[in-house]
Amino acid sequence: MPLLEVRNLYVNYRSYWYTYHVLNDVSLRVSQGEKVGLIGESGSGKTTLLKSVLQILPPQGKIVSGEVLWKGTNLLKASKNYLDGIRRKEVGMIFQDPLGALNPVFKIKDQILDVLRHSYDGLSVKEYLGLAEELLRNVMLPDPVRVLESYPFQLSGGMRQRVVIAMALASARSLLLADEPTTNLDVTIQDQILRLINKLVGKKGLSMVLVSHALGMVARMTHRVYVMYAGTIVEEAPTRELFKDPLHPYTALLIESAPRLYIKRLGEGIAGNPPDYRYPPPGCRFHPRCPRAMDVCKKMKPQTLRYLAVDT
Amino acid sequence: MLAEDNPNWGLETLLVVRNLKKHFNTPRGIVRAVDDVSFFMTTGETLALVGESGSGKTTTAHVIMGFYTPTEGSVIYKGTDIDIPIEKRPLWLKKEIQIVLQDLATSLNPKKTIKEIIEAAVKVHGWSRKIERLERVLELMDYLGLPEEYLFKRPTEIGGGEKQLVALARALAVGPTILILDEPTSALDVSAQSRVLKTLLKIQKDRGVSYLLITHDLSVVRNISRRVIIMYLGKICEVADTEEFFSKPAHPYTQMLLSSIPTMSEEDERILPKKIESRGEIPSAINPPPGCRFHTRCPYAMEICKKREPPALNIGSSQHLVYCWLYSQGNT
Repeated sequence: MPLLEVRNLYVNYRSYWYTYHVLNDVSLRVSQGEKVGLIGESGSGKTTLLKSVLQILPPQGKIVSGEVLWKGTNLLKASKNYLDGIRRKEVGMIFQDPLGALNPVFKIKDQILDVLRHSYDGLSVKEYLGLAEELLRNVMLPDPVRVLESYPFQLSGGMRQRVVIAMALASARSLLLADEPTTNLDVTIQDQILRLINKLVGKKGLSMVLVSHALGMVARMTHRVYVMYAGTIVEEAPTRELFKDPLHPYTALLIESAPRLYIKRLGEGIAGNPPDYRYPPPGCRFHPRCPRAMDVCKKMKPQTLRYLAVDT
Repeated sequence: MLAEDNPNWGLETLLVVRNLKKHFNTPRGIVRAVDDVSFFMTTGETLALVGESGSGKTTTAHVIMGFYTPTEGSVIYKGTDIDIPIEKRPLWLKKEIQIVLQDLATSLNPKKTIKEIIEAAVKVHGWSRKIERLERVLELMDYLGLPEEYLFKRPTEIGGGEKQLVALARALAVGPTILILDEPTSALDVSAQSRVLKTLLKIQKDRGVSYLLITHDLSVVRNISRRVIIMYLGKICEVADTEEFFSKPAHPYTQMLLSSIPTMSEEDERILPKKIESRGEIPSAINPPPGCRFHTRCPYAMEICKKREPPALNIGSSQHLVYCWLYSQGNT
């Protein structure tokens, strides 16, 4: 049984006048110890999917139908207690913006202890502090005592991101959800953070869902990748296979348009714009931009097909 | 690098930046944002200024634009010193050096239509009749592939790539010789990115505009620039032709930077240098380390690196400069 399974999830956002049909029949599976990537352009629903798993969507977001199964239990129907237990002790999430994820008016100490109180029961303040120090040391922050006494603005971007990772890992005993864990970080610092995540996830034997629009990062960090376009999953494949031999026209275009280092070449890009979620195109949501669109694409949502690579 | 080292000096050297320093006084001390930087640019080329945050690349560009006056050193454009604040610059100079700013959300007025945004630039720079101005705006939009119906849209209604094209149209409206591009694609998705980059290449081919490209994305550098300058904490580390930069990166920082890029294919992986594990934090520009500024993170740091600043050393071709003691004869 997979650790986490999302089945046929539909999520809408509502404004005063409109309904935005964002996630459309999304299914995703994460096994024990597996690192899964989720790629797609901005606005494709990657973050919405992660937030739906923990049911922390903003108030205008609504899960319409579908199932989120945690070791077989549907979290959408589970009691509040059970869900809170999962949020506190099983799943950790690294949010996109490290500055936004930390409260500017509280010391790091207070914020970490707040997390720890929820994920570890009944320790003394001293024990919590010791644990916090250990967590910070695990993410290679030098001088954890000083960091604990600092406010977020006194730390550099890389350090803040390490703090956020430490907090996410504190509550992650089974699964880490990493939403663009290195945006706004410099390349050399990003490299350090990725290595750190890899190491810690490996050490604790966690599963991970890594969300990013940086293809290289996903290629490096994951076993299997889901590609999202306009709120739908268009392709799923083992990472190496996906980058070597993408099948869906969208994936192929996405990979082809990314500028490369080894060769001076610019891809064609993808013509047109992502669809309006108020009136998503019928059939395959990619068909208005797809160079290989056929008549059937405009009418019917394509079924999920299993592709078996044939050795030649 | 001194301009005189350029074999084509005088012929087509457009811009020379010589021993430029820009320091800012803050309550916590002097921030040495740009500290003794020299380089040149020739007509029609794309020069990339690459570095991480705090390297001084944007400050350098802003000094060239006249947003800041240099603390020391000079900026020479077509043989004249242009150390003039932007508000005192003559119109011809403002026309010839233009900038496309990094943050499109704040550099395009959300309350104006695309027409008004582009027209403002056209108007300031001499087209006085309304019909002429409109023609000019339409011509620019057509040239950059923006559909006519965008005239009356506002920046919030169009995509990121298109916003970037509008900003480009505004800059091109006055016929610049040098266009400074500050992170032109950092906020864009891959497909919008390749559209913007292609447009940039087209503009350069048609109009011979020189680009000073400020970026941290080396795949962008690979695709549109001819030469690269790597900066770290207000100093230049390495200057090289793009080809040579990727095939023979010399400075340890450059190597660390290159080997930190996550790649998605074996072909990309192959051209990157042997892994130098990135370590340490980027120090503050307030009290930068003495000697070579990179020595605190450099795996090859020697005693001399902590004490003396490395000079510019020529390696390989005459265009390839590296500021590193490792390449100095007496210290190997």
